[in-house]
Amino acid sequence: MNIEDDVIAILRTVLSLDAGTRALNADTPLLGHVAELDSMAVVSVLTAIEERFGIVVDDDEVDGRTFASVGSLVAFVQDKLDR
Amino acid sequence: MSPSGAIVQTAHLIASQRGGRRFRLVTEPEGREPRGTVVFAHAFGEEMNKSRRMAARMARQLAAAGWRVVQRDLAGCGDSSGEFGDATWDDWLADVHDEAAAAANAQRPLWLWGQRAGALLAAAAASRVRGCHLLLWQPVVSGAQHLQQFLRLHAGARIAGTGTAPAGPSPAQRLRAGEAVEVGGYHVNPSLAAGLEQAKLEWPAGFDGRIVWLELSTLAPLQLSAASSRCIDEWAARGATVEADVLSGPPFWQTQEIEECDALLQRTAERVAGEIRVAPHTLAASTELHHRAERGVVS
Repeated sequence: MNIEDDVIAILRTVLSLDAGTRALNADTPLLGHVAELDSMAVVSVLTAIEERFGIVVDDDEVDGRTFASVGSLVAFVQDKLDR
Repeated sequence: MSPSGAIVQTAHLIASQRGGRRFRLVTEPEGREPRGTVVFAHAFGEEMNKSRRMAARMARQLAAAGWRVVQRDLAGCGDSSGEFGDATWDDWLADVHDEAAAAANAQRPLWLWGQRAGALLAAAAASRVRGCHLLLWQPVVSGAQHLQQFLRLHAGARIAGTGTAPAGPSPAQRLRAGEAVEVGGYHVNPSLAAGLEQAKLEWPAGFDGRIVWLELSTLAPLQLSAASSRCIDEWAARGATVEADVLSGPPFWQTQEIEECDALLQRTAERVAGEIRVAPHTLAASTELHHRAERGVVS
């Protein structure tokens, strides 16, 4: 599986981001830059990630740094899968 | 029977054996005997609200195809009496079981249709009602994880950096200590939380009905979620035949905007009608089935 592609697809779906007007790649900053990513959306993204990858995320494991960019979120998922 | 047949909807307030009144909406064909009954168990919390439109459309479509569809608002939800904060998991189990048992008296097919956390309730009822079938929409397989995801709303502001960590014990800790909590506008009592936390999606022992498992995904290639895949494998190892399909569509129960998915309505109607009886056991097979369907080989 390509984790980055899946994480980007989850972000697009949950945040209703149009692929045509908003490019997303590992360098794309998220919190503070993507207005759709509010506190409710953060929770929905985490839920979608848990269900897609079959992982369980403890609330204490995540903070603003996890959602700093697409790349930081992908790295978080990768780290969870490697454990 | 015309798929665009006339339908009629009736709303009832019925007395629950556990006290209070429940709101029940029945959607059925007009002037014809129904071919069977479909009992719906709705999702938990905000997911129920986000899913309302899809559930309503599904009920109408099934009714037009000849089915009597029963949608009960669980205790403390929607238009049923009582507060959400007073509802217990046992109340909800009883709500779904009571509707299923009432419908099972007829000599016609009975489907228990559970969405998300409602799938946990439907599967539990299916173990006690003989001769029914299970229809699962994006089922929650672990109540504990579902509860954790719901309680995470409490931490959302901290994670998003728009708030600080709330002081004191977390909602999960308070629930375990026997306190009620408020999260995301919902008052949750410890009994409801404990019941949900202990619930797992289990294959009803000795179940001999059909099991239709439908999921949506926006990922390519389409595949069941990891947790579903594991659960279906476990069920299959115990002898279950699961008709699992993954369709392309938005997770309408959790998207920011209200979303719909016509493909899910269509596939559900086909499955329930028995027009598709292929039973893929594996991920690859179910994905292949979907691709064939997309090309019109199966429809």
